[in-house]
This record gives sequence, structure tokens and C-alpha cells, in this order.
Amino acid sequence: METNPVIAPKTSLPDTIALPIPEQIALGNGIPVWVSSGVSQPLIRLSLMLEAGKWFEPKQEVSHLTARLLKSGTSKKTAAQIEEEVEYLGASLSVGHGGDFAEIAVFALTKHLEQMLVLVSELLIDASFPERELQHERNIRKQRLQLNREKTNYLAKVGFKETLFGSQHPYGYPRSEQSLDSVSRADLSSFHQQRYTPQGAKLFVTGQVDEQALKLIEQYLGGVGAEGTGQNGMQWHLPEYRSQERFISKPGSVQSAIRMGRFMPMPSHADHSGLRALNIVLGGYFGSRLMTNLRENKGYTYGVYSHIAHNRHQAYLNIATDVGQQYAEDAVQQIRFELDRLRNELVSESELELVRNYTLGVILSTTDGAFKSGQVVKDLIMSGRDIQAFDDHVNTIKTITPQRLKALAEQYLDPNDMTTVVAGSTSEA
Amino acid sequence: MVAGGRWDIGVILQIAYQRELNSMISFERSLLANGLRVLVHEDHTTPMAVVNILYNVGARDEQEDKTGFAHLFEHLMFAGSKNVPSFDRALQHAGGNNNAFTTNDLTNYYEVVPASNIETALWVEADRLAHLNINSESLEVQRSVVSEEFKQHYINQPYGDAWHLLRALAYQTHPYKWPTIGKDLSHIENASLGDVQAFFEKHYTPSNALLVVAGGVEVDRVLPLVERWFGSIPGNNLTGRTYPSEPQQSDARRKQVTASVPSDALFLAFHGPSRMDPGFYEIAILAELLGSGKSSRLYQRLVKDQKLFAGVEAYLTGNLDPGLLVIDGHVLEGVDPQRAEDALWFELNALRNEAVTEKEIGKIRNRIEHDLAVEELDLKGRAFNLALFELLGDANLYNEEAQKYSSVTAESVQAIANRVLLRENCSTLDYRKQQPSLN
Repeated sequence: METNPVIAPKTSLPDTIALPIPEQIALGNGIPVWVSSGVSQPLIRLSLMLEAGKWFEPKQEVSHLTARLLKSGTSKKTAAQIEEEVEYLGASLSVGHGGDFAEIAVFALTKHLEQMLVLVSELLIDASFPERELQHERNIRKQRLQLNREKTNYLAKVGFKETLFGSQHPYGYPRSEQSLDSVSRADLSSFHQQRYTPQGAKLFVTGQVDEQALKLIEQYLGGVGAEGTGQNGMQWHLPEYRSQERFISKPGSVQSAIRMGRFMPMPSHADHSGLRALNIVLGGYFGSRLMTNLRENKGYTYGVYSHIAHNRHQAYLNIATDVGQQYAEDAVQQIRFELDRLRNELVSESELELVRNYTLGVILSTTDGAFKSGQVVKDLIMSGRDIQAFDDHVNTIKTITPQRLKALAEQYLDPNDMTTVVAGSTSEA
Repeated sequence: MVAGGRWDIGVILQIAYQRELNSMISFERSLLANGLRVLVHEDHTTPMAVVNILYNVGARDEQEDKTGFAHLFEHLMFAGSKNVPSFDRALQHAGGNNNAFTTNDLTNYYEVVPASNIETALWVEADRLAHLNINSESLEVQRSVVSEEFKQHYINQPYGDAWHLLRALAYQTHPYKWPTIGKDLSHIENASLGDVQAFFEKHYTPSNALLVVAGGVEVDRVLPLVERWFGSIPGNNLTGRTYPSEPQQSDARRKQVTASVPSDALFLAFHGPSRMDPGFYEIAILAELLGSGKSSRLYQRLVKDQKLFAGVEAYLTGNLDPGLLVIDGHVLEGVDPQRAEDALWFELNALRNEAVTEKEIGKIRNRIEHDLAVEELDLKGRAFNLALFELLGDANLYNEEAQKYSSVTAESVQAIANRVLLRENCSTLDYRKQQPSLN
């Protein structure tokens, strides 16, 4: 231990760290709802998850543009009117999309809940995707794409996913001008009708939530979308994983962006919890192996982190950093070195104790208040787990051994199994 | 008001009682003999506790040929101290995390820990104030890290140098003329150990600091811990500090640069009031109305209706001395930037000539109510704000913010627009995309 034991104050952690159990109900149209309530500020957040992500789109960029343009008009309101309505209330209404799901997120003062629900139900039933809005959004996205292509960290991020999943796969395809141009208004309307439906949807409500709020939610969202057909999902072939190396040239960059990783087991897999603990040691906090090596010891970078990302059908390890361009080659070698070290040497008891205490502190703070605990609930449910998995994970953190970490590292952290993508100004070959 | 007297060192206690009106942030105030100002804010709805220490030193305290020091120093505060060789590890061991940031005006450090471990947070923070290890090894590593930060955010990004150029244009005298990261990478590369040590001795002292302890703690148990760890750190008598004031700008200023960027961009900076000036609330609301969100004036008219910009925003630098209102817009591909700029000025003049509508003011009121409620959710945000307002003279000013914002009227916004949105008060950075050369 680095601290002087004579004067360091004693520390302790709560014996139990519990996730407040959400209330579970269902709306009239079958949408399951998880409710985490109990804040004193008059704020409420709704997160409606729909099976309308890239996995379900008939062609590239349809999921993205449908989400972006959901608020761009209805038969009765223009985009400006909708935007004005939300902003007048000082609220936020955002629509996002990912590999599998689209999300409609509302955050408002409780006194404005009904107005927000009226608007959301209008968008679910009556979004009209005006042509002029589509043209405008297309131009903005193309301009943004040009800007992003100047950034090495964007190139590495996109290149990494493309290398892992393939350039035609919903989890891997890069954005392009051609794919943006090929999406028509009819594509958006059709996708909206098919996929913005109660089928497969989930709702998470957090904040100051009372009976009145739940009644309003049932009133405005419980009957919506009964007409949607919700066709069954597309069948995508997941690629066979193989490790690859790729260099993306960006002349003139002073920094190189590095991404390294590989496919990993899904969150519901028995090894997942232990892998998350291992990931923390590797690169999941400020004192990690990678941060200590690349930042604190060598000053190569402002930050290096790793995490286990997951879509509904595939999880993967993602180690990410931006380093001074002249350090890129050695940075890749140092990352491989740290992976090997975890496979060849046991983590010491004192390092494990540090990671344990730190992680339990983080987990404790994620239960602090209904908004934070509600986010944990959402992450568990959307990743195919249940509330019990929270307790199991806390238990893993408390009891995992150095031997188990080493065994997991041997199996999953072989540097030769990794895919490495570097975007920068000189070749690292 | 309850008078203190329990502690021999002359602690002054002041309790602010809960009011029935809008939730109020309550706190107790005390003062150590060495000049450290202390506030304790109890909140028993959370299992966590926060220690926030704000030092009254920022980029504005640097010399023009040695900039970037306040920020570099923030990094050095993590290099370890006599009894705590690893600051981060000591906190991680207590289940906590920490961060810090530097601005032109101040440097702020905070730790979040399970409430049972509040003493660890106080211990590590006190130890680095009293016994920080400043040596050439730690300086070399942090120098390199900060250099990478400089490159990542300001060199390796399109428009990365915009703030450097804009600040240097808007400010001729006041130290706000350089950004917190530093005026030039070479200042960081050349910083000597002696320079850094002198900076620490001058600015990092209890009388130049404000300490806030907040969360699931009790004031009766916290104050003795504060005394135990901070009480023996010697204070020094700081002389009052003044900054060269910026003379009033009397002519429009302009700079054009060309670089390898994907589109033309415009940055306009207008001089505004200081943080404590009553006009601050008016200008904050003016910035919101102009360019915060898609229903804002500039977005609706210049992006959606006229299709001259791909995006445009307006915001304040929020500095303590007179700061800037900045408008930043990316010109849409194919549009003449002069035409875009003229259209922008048309909208700015409209705000001077006509009062904004009641509906627009109503919108801002709702937004402020929402934002203040959100801000209160975050314990460390509350802790920082208490420290900030105490720095400005009285922590209780934090509880007056809502009322000050709601006193703003359409007329007072129009008045500030007429003071601020003038060409002779404007510095314009015209950032042009490099045209391909003809060979």
C-alpha cells in the first residue's frame, strides 16, 4: 500500500449495496414499464425504447434519418412549431437510434408532463417527414460527415466497427454520402409505420413519479400504435470473428487514434461479470494498467480507456486512445504488453482490493437517487438481464479472485486475437 | 442566527434556515485561523459525500510570456504528496473518485466518496496543499500529458485555434486574452521547475481557498475533521489582486484566417458585463434567446429558414471579470460567407430595435426553472456553486439566482442588446476553408 498506515484515516464501505427495485406495470397495449421514483425536485424522465434501430432497417441510414426527422413535422405542425413547443416548456425531447433500438427520451418539469405526452403520441402516430426537412437534414449530415472525416478519432471509431462487423452489417457500416442520398421520404414513412410500434417496445420512467403521472402515461401512450404491423426482425448474419490490423491514413495529424478489441460474450453470459472486473483493471478507471502505462508513465496520451460494449446480438471489447503521432507504434506494443501481463501474472491482492473498493464506490453512486438507479435498471433490462443481475455483479466484485481474473485474461485477452485499427499520419506497419 | 464558540480557534458559525419557498440550499459557514473559508451543506438523501476545494487562481493570474501554468499546475496537484504518494489510489481505496478543472478565473478540485469515508477525502486534499511533491520527474510527465491535451483539443482539430485567435482579438490588455490551456505550446514545453514552485507558493495557500463539504455528513462531525487536517497548514497574507482592465473597445475588429477545414466559419465576440454586474442576467438570457437550441432566433432564421448556416450557437464565456458573448456558426456549403455574416447582423439588429416577445421571455423562464431543478440533483454541482458564490462574496447568493433570472424583462433584454450587440463592440474571426490550388 502506498499510503502511510500510521495516519491514513480508516475507510469502510456499506455492507450491502442495493438497487432500489423498480415498480413494474404494463400499459394497455402491452408495453412493459419500469418505474423508479423518489426525487424531491419536480422532474420526470421517460425513455421509450423501440425496435427501430439499424438491425431492422431495409437499407442503410433509414433508422438514423427516421430518428433524426421524427420531430420534423406532423400533419398539423411544422418542425419549428414542434421545436418551439418543447423549448417553450424548458423541456427536452430527443430521438436517438443505435444498432438495435431507437429511443424517444423526454425530460421535463412534472407540471409539463401532459403536454409532452400529447406531443410524443402525435409523433408516434402522425409524423409526416416533410420533403424539405429531409433535404435540409441530408445536407447538414453530409457537411458533418466531411468535418468528422478530418478527425482521427472518428476515423478510428468508425473503422474499428467496420473491421469487426463488416462494411454491410448494421453494426459496422460507415456513413456515406451515397447512402444518405438514397433514402427517400417513403422509406422513412414506411419504417416509421413498421417499427415505431408497441411490439417489442419498453418504457422506463424515472424521477418524481406519482399515480397521476402514470395515469397520463397510460392515457397517451397506452393505446398508441395499435395499427403498426411490427414485422419480425431482419436476419443478419454475424461475421465469423478473426483478428485484423488496419491503418487509416490521415496526413498531417499530430495525433493518432488507436482502437483495439475483439468479440466478447454477451452480458447474460456467465463470464461477463468477471470480464467487467478484469476490464476495470485493464483500462476501466484512472488507475488502470493502461492509464498508468500510457499516460502516467510515458505521457503518450491525455487518456486511455477500455470497456465492453454490447449490442443485442454481439458484445465486444473496445480499447481506445489518442496518442501523440510519434508514439503510436509503441503505444500499440504497450497495450499488447499489458494484455499479456494480465495473462501471465496474477493481479496482486492489494491492487485487487483497490479495484474492488473503487468499483463498489462507483456502484454505490449509481444507486444514488431515482434518476441514477433508473438508468441502471434500463441498462440491465435492455441488455437482456434482470434486476437480480445487479446483486450478482456486486457479489462478483466482492469475491472475485486473482486466479479467476488470470483465467479470464488467458481466455479472452490474447493480443494475437485482437483487431487493431490506427488512424493517423504515418504507417505503423 | 446562532453564534459559535465551541472551538478554541475562533470558528464563526452561521446557519441559514430552510425557507418554505423554492427549495433552498442550506449550509453552515466557518473560518479557520489560517484563513481557510469552510462551508458544510448537509443532505441526508444521498449515501455519498463531496469535498470541493476552490482556489482563487486561474489563467488570468499568469504572465503573458508564461501562460498555461494554472492548468499545468492543476495536473501537478495529482503528482503525490508526502503522506499520500498516490492521490488517486488513496481515494480509489476509499471507493471514491475525483476530478478538477481550471478556468481563466479559478481552479476547482472535488472528490466524491461514500459518506463514511469523508475523512479520507479531507486528508488527501489537505496533504497535497501542505506537502505536494513538486519535482522534475512529475513535471516532465505532466508536461507531456498537457502537451498531448493541447494537441488533441487545439491543434489536431479543425478550427482548434479559434479560441486563441478570438481571445487575442477581443482582449488587448486583460489576461483573458489567452486561453486556459496556454497561449502557445512552447510555454508549457519551457516551464521550469522554479517557475512552477513559485506559482504554487504564491497561489496555493489556505487563505486563497474555499472548502465545501456536502452530502450525507453532519456538520458537528465534519468541522473537527476539517480542523484536524487543514488547521495546521500555515496561511500567508495575500495582498489584494487587481487585473489590468480592458479599455472599452471603440472599433470593430476583424481577422481572417484560411486553413484546411471543411467549411467556412464565423466567430463573433462581444464584450459583456462581469459576473456580479446586474446586467449579467440580461446578457445570459440574451444569449439563450439568440442561439441556444433549435427554436432560438439564429437557428430558426439562419439555419432553417434562410439556409445560410449548417449550425449556429450563442453562449457566454461566463468569466468573473467582464466576459464575452460569443456567436459561432458554420456556413453552409456553397453559401458566400459575407452574405451569411450580413444576415446574422440583420438578426442582431432586430434584437436591438424591437423588444423580444412575452412568449420568448416565458420560454426562458421555464428553461431556467428546469435547469435550476436539474442542477440541484447533482451534489457536486451544489458544492461547487456554494464555493463559487462564496468567492463572489456570499454563498447565499446561490439561493438568489432563480429570483434574479425571473426579474429580467423584455425591455431590460433589449437594453442590454443595445449596449452589447454593436459593431464597435465586436471582434470577428472569419475562418475560411482553404480552396484547392490550381496546378
